[in-house]
Amino acid sequence: MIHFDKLTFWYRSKGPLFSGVDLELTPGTIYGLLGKNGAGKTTLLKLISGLAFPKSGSVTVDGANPGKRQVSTLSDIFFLPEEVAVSAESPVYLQKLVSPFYPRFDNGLFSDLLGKLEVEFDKPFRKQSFGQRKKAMIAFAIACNTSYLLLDEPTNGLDIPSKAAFRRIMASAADPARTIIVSTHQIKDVDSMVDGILILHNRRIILHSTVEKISNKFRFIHGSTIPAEALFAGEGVMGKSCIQLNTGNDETGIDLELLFNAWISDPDKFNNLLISNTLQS
Amino acid sequence: MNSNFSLKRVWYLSRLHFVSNKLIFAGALAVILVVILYIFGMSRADPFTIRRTYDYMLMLAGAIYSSTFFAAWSDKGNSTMRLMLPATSTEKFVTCLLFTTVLYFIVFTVFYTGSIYLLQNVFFEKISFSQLLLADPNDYRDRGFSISASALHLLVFQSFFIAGSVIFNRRQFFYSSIVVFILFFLYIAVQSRIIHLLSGYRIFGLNDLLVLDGKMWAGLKDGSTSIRIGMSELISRLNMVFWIVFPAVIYYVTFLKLKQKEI
Repeated sequence: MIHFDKLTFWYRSKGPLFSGVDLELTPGTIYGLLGKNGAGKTTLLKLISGLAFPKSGSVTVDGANPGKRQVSTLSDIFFLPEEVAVSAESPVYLQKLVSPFYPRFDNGLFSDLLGKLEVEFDKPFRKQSFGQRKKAMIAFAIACNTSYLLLDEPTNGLDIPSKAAFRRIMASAADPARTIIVSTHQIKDVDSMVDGILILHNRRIILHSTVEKISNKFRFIHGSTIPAEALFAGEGVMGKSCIQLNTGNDETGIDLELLFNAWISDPDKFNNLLISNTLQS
Repeated sequence: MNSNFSLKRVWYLSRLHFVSNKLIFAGALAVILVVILYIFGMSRADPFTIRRTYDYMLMLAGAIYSSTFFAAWSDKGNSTMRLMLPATSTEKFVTCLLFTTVLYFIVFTVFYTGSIYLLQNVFFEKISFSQLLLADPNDYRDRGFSISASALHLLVFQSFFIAGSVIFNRRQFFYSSIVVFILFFLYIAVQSRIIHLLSGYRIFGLNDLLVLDGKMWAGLKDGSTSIRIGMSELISRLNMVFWIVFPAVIYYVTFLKLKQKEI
């Protein structure tokens, strides 16, 4: 379990980023981590993986401080940054040289995932595109079988078929013992695979909920007109869309873009509605 | 997973470092060979020049190599991969020392002497291995130029450049060189000042300092006469601080910086 206790963090040059954040992330969930540019999505992942240290408060992963970088913690967390760097010459070397550090590494799964993502096993990385390298590292990250998998903008640089393959792979990577956090701007790339949502805004987490809970409380309607009872409305290239209270137990699916815009417009209002017991009839 | 020091993980780290950098290592050896050919490929080499060149090249190439060891850690993607590798900071630091001091020293010495030995014996006069690195043993022992002294100098010298590769985010070799230059200047200045205060003589550089029979002396000129004065206890302690304590502190600080490195 990942636990944040009154965590405060700032960069010297940028001012406060998080202020008194409390958070608990449970295993068996794929979290979508959303936020505007500079909201602190990458920093949150760094704090969890021990690459940045809290200024006050604490973060623990299974009770351990990740900042201590103990081998037991490091071998159970895999953080794939947006700008991937390959620490070996080719996928085959990655398997030979880096996988021994991860006790639960699955060689068969790695080969299988490389095949699904159409990455050549023995082709040197220097002859592969950025997208190919990223796919190889995604495959490696999943094959490490760590309990915590942190992916920062994983779909950046991937072509359209690869994004679809990524979604399928992530769905299959879900495990009751595993916590996956996917930080992204590309909401459409993750909306079908996440079952938990985190939104960062104004130095705090303004939404931490499950997709199930949100879809039980709200309906996401698309159409040519906006009903009067709409709580929030938006307009995109596909037409108008709005959020309404789900009073009839309808399952509409979640429009993450609309959800994100609604929450950052008035977090308190939507959080109050989300936790209210009287809304659902 | 065991968080105690593990030789197995040091082996994994070493293997990863070697395989990831093998082309760079091959290129570096090629450059060293070109320099050797340039200096010693035209005529029979003078043993004194061979020995002097060995020291200079050992230090220079070592400084360049050490200052690049953690350089990749200032790049976001690379540093994430390296810091997140499941090994302790101690194991990562030990791997660094293993490569930049022990293995580098052995490989450089063998490659340097081997190349010159072949070059000289094939194209010029016969030369023995002992001549290659010792020349006149008495002369070199007097000047603190034994192979073990070279290894010690390397260990001291490398400490600054390894620290530089962790502390500076770019141009590690350049900035580290400036720091080393300033520190050496201060070291000589302080030492000269102390000798001047104690003896009235002035010394101007490191070459004036000699080690004889385990004691340190300053070689000076009084008019046209060369004289040697024994160094006081204070100077001996100052040298001990500079050559042993100070590098040990630098290595320790580097280790702490590495352990607490954030991205």
